[in-house]
Amino acid sequence: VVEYCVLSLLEPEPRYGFEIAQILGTDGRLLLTEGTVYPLLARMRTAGLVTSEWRESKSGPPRRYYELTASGRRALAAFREEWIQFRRAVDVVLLGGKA
Amino acid sequence: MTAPHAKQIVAGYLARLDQELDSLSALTSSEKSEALAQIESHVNEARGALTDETDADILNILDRLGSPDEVADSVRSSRPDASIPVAPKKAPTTFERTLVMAAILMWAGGLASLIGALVLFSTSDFEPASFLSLFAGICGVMSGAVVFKRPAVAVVGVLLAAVAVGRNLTYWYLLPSNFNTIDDAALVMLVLGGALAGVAATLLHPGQVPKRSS
Repeated sequence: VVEYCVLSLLEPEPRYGFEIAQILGTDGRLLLTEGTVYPLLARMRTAGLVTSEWRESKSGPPRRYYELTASGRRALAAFREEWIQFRRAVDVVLLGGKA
Repeated sequence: MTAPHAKQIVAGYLARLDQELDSLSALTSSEKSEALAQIESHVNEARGALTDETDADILNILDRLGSPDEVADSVRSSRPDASIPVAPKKAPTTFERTLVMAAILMWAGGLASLIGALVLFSTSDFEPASFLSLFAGICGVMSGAVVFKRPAVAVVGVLLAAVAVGRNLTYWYLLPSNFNTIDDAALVMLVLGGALAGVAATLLHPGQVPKRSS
């Protein structure tokens, strides 16, 4: 699920690793440990879901920015459909059909 | 202001992470370097956001990152080939391509000269039955080498080629009257073709040796 949250974060614009870790970890509470986001990003890049490039930073050394690929966009769209179905099914069980 | 022990704390964390990553045998040096660089960059980014950092701030940053073994564990489990490493696909070199081409040409040449011998000389000078059995044997050697990718089959092909060459040399020097040029040349070409195909198949499709993964 976290993988698709990363894809979703990258949908509007490319982001760098620290930024993603902050949103999902400190802000979103989706990551128990922020360090796990980097191996995840590396795996997603290997899988062709994202690409990365170095960009200059105004406040320090260059940052590795990640961007969605066409394959990543397709994976995200497919997951959104699945997630909606899954959430409805869970709501029916948890809320007794009051969803 | 920089925290008094920031350098030691961060260096200690990165050293422990380095050790943990070293224990992952399947990890390449570039994957390890990237993982370390990303974590170091994260710490620097987090420190950059602080106006007046303390040792406690540094420790909190590292706490949020996770312990070195947690980070190393996520690196290990994020690898697509964590359980069964696959040998990288090797592109054939010019030498290997030449070997394959030579095998194909020798086979085409051998086959053409044999058909030519059958058509031109009928069956008076050699025995088709024994020749066909040898031909079938060589076909087996070649297909075995190519399809099953067995180095041992290539060795058998090389031995057969040596026997054929030896037989021809014997005829040439000792019994020249018994030497049938087209027939024997074709046999040598077929056998050598089979041997070359076997060697090429072995070079192009080396056995995949599984690496140990932790």
